Amino acid sequence: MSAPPRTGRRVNGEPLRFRFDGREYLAQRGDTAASALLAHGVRLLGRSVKYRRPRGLLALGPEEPNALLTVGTTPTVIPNVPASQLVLREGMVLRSQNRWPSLRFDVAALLQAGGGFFGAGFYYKTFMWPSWRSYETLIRNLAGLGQAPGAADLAMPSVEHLSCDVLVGGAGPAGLAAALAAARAGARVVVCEREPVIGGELEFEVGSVDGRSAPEWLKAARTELLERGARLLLDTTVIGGSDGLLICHAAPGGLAGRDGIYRIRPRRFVIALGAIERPIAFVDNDRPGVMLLGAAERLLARYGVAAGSAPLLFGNHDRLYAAALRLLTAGIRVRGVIDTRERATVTARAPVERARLELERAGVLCLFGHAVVSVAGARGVRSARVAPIRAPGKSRALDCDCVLVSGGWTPSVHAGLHEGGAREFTEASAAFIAGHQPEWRLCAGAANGRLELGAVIADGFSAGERAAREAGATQGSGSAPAASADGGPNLEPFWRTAAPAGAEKRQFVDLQNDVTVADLRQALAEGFIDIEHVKRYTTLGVGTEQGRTASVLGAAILAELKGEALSAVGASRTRPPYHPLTLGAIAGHRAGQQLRVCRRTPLHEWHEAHGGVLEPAGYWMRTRYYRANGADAYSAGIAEAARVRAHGGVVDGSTLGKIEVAGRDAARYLDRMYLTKASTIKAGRSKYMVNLREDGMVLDDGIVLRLAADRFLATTSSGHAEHMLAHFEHYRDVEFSGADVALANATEAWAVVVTAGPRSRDALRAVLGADWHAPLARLTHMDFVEGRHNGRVLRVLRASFSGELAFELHCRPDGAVALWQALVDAGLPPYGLEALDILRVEKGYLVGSELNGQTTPADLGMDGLLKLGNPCIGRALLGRPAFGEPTRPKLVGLRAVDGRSVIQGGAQVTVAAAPTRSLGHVTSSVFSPAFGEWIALALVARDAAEQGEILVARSPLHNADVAVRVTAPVHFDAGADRMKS
Amino acid sequence: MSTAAPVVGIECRIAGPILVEASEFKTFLFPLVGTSTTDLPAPPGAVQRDAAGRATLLHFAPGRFLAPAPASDMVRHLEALAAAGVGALFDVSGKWRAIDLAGAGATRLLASGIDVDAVLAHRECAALQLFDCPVVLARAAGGFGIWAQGSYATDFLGSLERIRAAL
Repeated sequence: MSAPPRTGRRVNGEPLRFRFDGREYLAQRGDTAASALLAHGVRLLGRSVKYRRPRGLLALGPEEPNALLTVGTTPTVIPNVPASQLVLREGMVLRSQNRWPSLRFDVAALLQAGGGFFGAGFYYKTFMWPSWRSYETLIRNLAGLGQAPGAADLAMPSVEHLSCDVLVGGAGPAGLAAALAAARAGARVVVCEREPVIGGELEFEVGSVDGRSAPEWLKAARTELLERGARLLLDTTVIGGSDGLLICHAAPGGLAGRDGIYRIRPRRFVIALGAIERPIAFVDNDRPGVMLLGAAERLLARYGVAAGSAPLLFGNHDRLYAAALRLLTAGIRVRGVIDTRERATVTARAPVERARLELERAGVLCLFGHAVVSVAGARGVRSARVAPIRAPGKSRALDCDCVLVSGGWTPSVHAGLHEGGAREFTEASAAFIAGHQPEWRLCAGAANGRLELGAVIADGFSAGERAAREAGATQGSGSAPAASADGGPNLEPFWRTAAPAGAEKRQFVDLQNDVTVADLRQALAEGFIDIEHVKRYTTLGVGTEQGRTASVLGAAILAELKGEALSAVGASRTRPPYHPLTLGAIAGHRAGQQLRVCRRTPLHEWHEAHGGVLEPAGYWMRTRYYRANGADAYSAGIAEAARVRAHGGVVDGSTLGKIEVAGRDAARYLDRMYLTKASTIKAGRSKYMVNLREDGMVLDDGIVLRLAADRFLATTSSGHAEHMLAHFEHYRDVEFSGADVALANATEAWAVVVTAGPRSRDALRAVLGADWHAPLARLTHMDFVEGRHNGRVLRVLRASFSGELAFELHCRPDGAVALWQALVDAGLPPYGLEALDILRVEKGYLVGSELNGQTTPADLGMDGLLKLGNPCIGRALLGRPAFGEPTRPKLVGLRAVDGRSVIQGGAQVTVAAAPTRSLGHVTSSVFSPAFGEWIALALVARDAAEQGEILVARSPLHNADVAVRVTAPVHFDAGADRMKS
Repeated sequence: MSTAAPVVGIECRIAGPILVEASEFKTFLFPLVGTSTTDLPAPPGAVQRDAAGRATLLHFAPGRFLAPAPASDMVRHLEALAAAGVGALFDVSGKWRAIDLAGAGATRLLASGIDVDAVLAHRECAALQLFDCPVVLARAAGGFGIWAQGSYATDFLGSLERIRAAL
């Protein structure tokens, strides 16, 4: 389809093709979807979310509530892209939203007929019979904006962190003046502008700055800023921030997929984000063809597209007349100007009166004290009915094909509403402007209530000058640019035309969420009187529009209905992000392999290459089992555990936390950190030790090796390593700040290969060679020896977490693979965490869930350690009477009475006579290959934990009640003969 | 004029990760008393370099020093300080992996994770989380030296390369 020739500042005549709802259109390079479709006369661009009413373009910025498009083809789509922002590219495929089967004919539009049922909060009150479920599928299908992508094919967003002296949000007249002042003062300046070009209103305002035309001044300002080193970030919107950090989102062409996120920390932030034009509510004010006046002017200036051929202008301020003249000059037959103000207000200002007279001479109807009360035309405005405000019954119809509305402006102060920022109401422009701000934020232009060009520029310049000075810049900024004055808009607030009660259902306040005047009235009647409650009940100002066009209009009408002043009602608070962005833009580089950081042991690649099934354990990737040993973790774990008991195996223990503690006071320090004394450990020996929290609960356990008189290596459980390091450092810095003790995180300095099983000593002798035979022979349980193997440092500790004869081999990471492979070759096959857990439960060792922050040493059967009386952290509170009560838990073993049943982990332990009274729970359970049945560890109330007691392990989730016998926690090798062999 | 369009093809060479021998020295007291006699770089963030400009001792956290690939005289020096009761020396060989970033795009690459100019504005090195990984970062001739903790090194390098490819 060919398009009519046109000229505009942003289009260049170069053709491109795109598709909208299956039909091909021709556009010019630089066109947005909105401009191109309107150029083709396509005014129906979407349907509303609730009533599916036909909708066109209202605004020409991110505030556009209705013309939201889906870009791409299923499943790789990007929904909810404002047509006003979407810059077309060759071959782009677009689809309208909220309609089925087509935009022109939508079945769900029948809902309009039932509008009476879908008032505010309808979903809270209806759909109760026979049940919500009966309607849920239908309602969920109808609800929501657009279609979520079924696949993602977006480029990784570009993220950049930067800092500057002065960040200026907005490159309109105020923002540019602020940036110029700051840059001239010598400040490092960054400017964020949501549009692809600078200038804001100067793009179509007729005015002069410093004696130059607006375009000439803009060009000079841009050149000067760049010469002074300022950075201009175009297509970039300030969307939120916290703690002095501003988050700015760049979406070139208005489309996700080429996103950029700037995280900017300025010394001073100037909010010069301009203002958004607001509509006026009248009956059927949502019809395609009802558009904001500023949007129509931008369409014409940027893209050479007329919003209509016979527009009717409707508003409440002086600028209607200048705008009408501009449209007239562009060859558009303006049908009329409907001004809500009385004649005296308009004629009192000479320039305005001159413009009005010129319009009348050109045949344009100018009416004072009138308002548009309704429009006619379902898929596009055909006429408007206007009436005197004082006599709404005396209406008459005027033929027109669009109504260009301007009810004033709402300053964009979203960036000034958080972290202590406030806003306040000003009568002058009937708007909420920025109020008190923290010292690092300054406001300029519309945010300060300035709407006249000269005042806007002066205000911006002053803010930039102050921001630079406060940021430490010392040079002078010179004088502010002087702008020709238009005298300001001389606005008189007008929010809606009078309408019969029945017609208020068609006076739309929030066009995205179909919130009407009737909804606001209903919310008030039902007791929702606060603006924030009304917002939530009616959905006023939610969704992608976030109240930019609806919030103040809704608040004003609410004020009218309540009989209060708008300043008393206030406006609802906006929340970041200011405009929608993809989850990908938030995630940044965290996708694919980098979705979640993974820590790898030095043996990671070996495990992967040899069928290891690696799973996250905290940030670590650990081998759960090896595929060669079974089809799943359950069967492989049993096979691996059985093989360790029968022969032996190796497991990767590199993830164990390792804290090296050194200094003359190291032993004294560790005595304080552990339940038992470290100072009694001899060099070359180690000890199993337990840490307590200050409240006496067990925090962690591990082995402490004494490397020398003044040096120890404390191991921690893998999952607690970082926390334990912080815990150790806290006490080092707080209670031992003057002591000669220092800590180092040595976790990654040592790989740990653990051998276990009856053959582990022989394998070790074979691998390490003759030099190690004698030292190995001398090692008794908990001894360690250091030496060299293959030229590298090696520490061999005889300790066991499996109940088997076992050795921990601590080597440097670069030697781990060779050592591991040699042990495997020597007959110790690898095993994983699944087998390790089985071995630990069999031996009655703590697996992990027993250390739940609620167990004391006595609960866990560590009475022997307690008797030593070391005055450690947490010791004082162990004497609490509550810890001696008979209901305190006790660690026990459990075996199924029938020797066959599965004891479920997490099962509640009860007695048959009182099955709903929990006595404790199963903390760990495994199928034991050593016994050929399920065994478990459990924490059970002491008074019910006598060995031999018959209890019930109840798991309602599995519908299983299993009779269990209480045993000692140590199921296997109670005498520790194998471990000490 | 810079725009939001992604920078295409930044010039940044990534070398590493190289497993390095390393020592850490931790003073018992901080602030350091009589630093002039200990010959340790002060304050935190200071870096001691050799004649070629390579970092030899980084004061990466208060009272905590990293000596990557320490020469024997550096080890002797630190051992002497330990013997004098200034602090403790730890052999953490294998804990750190060295990664070098060089080229005009190195700063932009790092800026994807941190405001590098701000971080290193008043110091030569810093310990921080970069792309979710704990690292020590220092300026180097023509770029940056990074020491990443060993278990994170693969992921860290993956992030660097992924971001470099996207810029």
